[in-house]
Amino acid sequence: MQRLSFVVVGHVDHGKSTLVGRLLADTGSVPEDRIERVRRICEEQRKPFEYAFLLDALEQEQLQGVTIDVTEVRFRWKEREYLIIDAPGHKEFIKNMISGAAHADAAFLLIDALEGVQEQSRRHAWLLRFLGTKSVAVIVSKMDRVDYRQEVFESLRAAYTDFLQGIDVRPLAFLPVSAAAGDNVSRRSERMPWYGGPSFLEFLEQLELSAGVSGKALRLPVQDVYKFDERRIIAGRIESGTLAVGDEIQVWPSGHTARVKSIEAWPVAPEAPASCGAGQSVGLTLDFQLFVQRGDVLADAASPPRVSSFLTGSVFWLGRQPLEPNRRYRLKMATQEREVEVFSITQTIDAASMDVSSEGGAIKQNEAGEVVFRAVRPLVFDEAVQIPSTGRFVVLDGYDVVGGGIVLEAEDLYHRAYRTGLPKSSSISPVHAALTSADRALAYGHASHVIWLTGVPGAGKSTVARRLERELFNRDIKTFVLDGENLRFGLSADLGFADQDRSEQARRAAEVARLLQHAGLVVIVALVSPFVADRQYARALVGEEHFTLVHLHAPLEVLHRRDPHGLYARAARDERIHIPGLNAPFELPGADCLAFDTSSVGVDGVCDEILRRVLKSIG
Amino acid sequence: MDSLTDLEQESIYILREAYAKIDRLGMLWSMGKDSTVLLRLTQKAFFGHVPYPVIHIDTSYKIKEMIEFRDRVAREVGFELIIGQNVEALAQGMNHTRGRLVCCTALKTDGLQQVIDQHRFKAIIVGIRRDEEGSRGKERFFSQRSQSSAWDVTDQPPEFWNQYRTDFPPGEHVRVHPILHWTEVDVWRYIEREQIPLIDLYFARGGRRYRSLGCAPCTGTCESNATSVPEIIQELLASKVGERSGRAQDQEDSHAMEKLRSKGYM
Repeated sequence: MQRLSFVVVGHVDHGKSTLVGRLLADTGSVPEDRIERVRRICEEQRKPFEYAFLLDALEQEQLQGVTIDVTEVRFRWKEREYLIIDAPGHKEFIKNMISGAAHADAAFLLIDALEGVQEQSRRHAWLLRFLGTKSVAVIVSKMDRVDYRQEVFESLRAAYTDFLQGIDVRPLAFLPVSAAAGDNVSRRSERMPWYGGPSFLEFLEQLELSAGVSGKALRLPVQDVYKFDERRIIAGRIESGTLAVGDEIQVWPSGHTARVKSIEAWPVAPEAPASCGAGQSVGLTLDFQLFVQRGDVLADAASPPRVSSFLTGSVFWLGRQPLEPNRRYRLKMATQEREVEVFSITQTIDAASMDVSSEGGAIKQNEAGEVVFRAVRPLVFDEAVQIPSTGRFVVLDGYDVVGGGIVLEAEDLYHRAYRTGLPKSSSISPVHAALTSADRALAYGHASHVIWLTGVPGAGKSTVARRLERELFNRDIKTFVLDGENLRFGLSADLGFADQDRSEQARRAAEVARLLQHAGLVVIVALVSPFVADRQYARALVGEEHFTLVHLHAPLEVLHRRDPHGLYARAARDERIHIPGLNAPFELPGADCLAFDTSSVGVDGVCDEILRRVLKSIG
Repeated sequence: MDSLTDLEQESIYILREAYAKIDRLGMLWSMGKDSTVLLRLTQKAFFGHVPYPVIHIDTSYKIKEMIEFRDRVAREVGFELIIGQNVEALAQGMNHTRGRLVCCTALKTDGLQQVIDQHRFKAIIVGIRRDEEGSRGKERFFSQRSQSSAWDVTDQPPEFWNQYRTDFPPGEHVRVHPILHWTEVDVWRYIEREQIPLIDLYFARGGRRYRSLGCAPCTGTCESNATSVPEIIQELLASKVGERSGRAQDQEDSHAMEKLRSKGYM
């Protein structure tokens, strides 16, 4: 049987629960004992029969006559089963409204014919767009209270349509209804002959269920890794795409590759599945023992997710304390959890009036905005418009969920983070240089560039850097080496080897490289730089056309033999020594780099190839 | 996927979230249809394993067949079974004639609280469903409880985009509700599809059957001729009577279940 879920939202007291209660009663969907119970309660309270009480079951709700928390009710009608989500309209219960609306296929915005568009009518509409609800329609309720007059309905329709257009919500229909009198709920009303459209129930019958768009890109956030028996099963739900035995997958953020060896199931009869798709909670084993943990994301090699420490999101805030720059929160995204810092607030939106401000400042409870977060370690994500379930997150303060967010376009991320966030002082403005890059290129006889050598200790970065420097110098090219080891004696003397220290080291190297590059030099950076996000940051800072990323690597036994600083020998004796690629993370670069195995290619070969590329680029 | 598979897959996701995030986890099993489905979902989620203890709160007033069924399934499936009982209250002669809500609170709510305290459980998986009765309709998948198991129904955390409140301050615990979004008919359809063995009491004998199982003195049968799972499904699709109408404690007060549950009842 087909199943359709819908939510009814809108301002408090505009009659949401009454409408839903009426629909249930009219379709014979409420057990007799429940109707009997409501009749008894209404008699106790000396009131006429309240359809809303069929849903507002809590004692406080019935005494106060408001919905406090979301309720779900099901009913069957013709060939469909409907799941009705009745959400509270009171401002205090926005978090409950979101809990209900977030999983609805369709939404009805209810507006009281007498009171018209109110604060929650606007805020809820904005939230529906934020939550990504596909089908939205508007119900003008309590038409009996305005004597079923067409002009009231039409003027409301005009005013609300105007507002909805402004926030990019396109309602499928406007329905005039009276729930208390039963007009246009399950039957078309004779009291509104001017209305030719369907009743609420007819509208539901005709509503097309939007097929759950399962994208092509595979996204399987790892929930857990089980070792109940000899199998090492990676468990999680496929959020997008499909998966089959034999498929090549990549594990992010590390970027390691393996093939799917088996898809596990219980009971196994008649036979284990060979493939599975979106929405399924699966278990699988890989043909190669990779280190995989909760929070990692499995993806197909053709469409990697974004990996970054910076994330720009549209955020809705529920916390009593406002969201403020520099504050730290925890961010949960699919199965990932990260400590994050508010890097900058680029926009605030008053969700009641929809007024947008670019002044920055804070985002208060029940308001919205655009926020750049910086995570301690890189996050794996997508843009929400591409893959919603890996493009959404919640923000936690302590134990509490205090906000929800969707990832906005990530393309321009680093430039924006750099532009909007970094300087602590807001009273500074850039001083324009007297000379341009073109002036310098003309004088020096070549353009400038950054060659960024990444790789684990012992891969050959310093050796290659020194050789490149000499070769360029011999060709009369202005050049300079920034070696990570040397930076640690001065510029980065305050840094250790923790993940965030390595990130900061890379950031400083990137900034210095950019200055020297602006000065017209070909800069060679020799730095472990184990995180994708940091290398991406450097690339964005310098600019794609001036940046060449080179990944140097070698087999482990070669690294052990070379051991230029005695690191590997020390690590063998002392487990507190962490070496990227050995017992600390080293995120492999993707296709955006030149890669060399220095045990087989040799320094000459590596340098020749890099020079060939760079010389062409700097003309 | 069909809607039943959707429900199943989401429930498995929730069970795995609970297992991944919470250390001391236990699952309530009343031998009824819902928690028996939960047991099957557990085996599916963990590839045949039941990786947490299964708890039965024995009021001593359960229908005899239920206890037989319990011990047989526990043997066959093979899991750690914890049987909790409020021995002290029983020794003082607690029974339903002292007031049904008083009895339920003492033998079930307090009995469960004793097990939680004794085994230091941080989370209890419970097979309640939103369509059973009003206050359960307001529940969350992960529902926090204070140290004394109290439930503040008017101030629950938001729950959306499959993000649940799996972290909580020391002393609090969580009730995990993996089949919250299933209906009674869904449960029966799943039992049919998965061929899950059930206790005989659900099937009609002499024109009557149990629709919901509880303690013998407070659980009534309903009129029925349904002797198989498909017949029960047909009967339910045509029925206009609530599932828990045979449960006497629900009828004690207009808000009986809400009152019971705010103190920690399942």
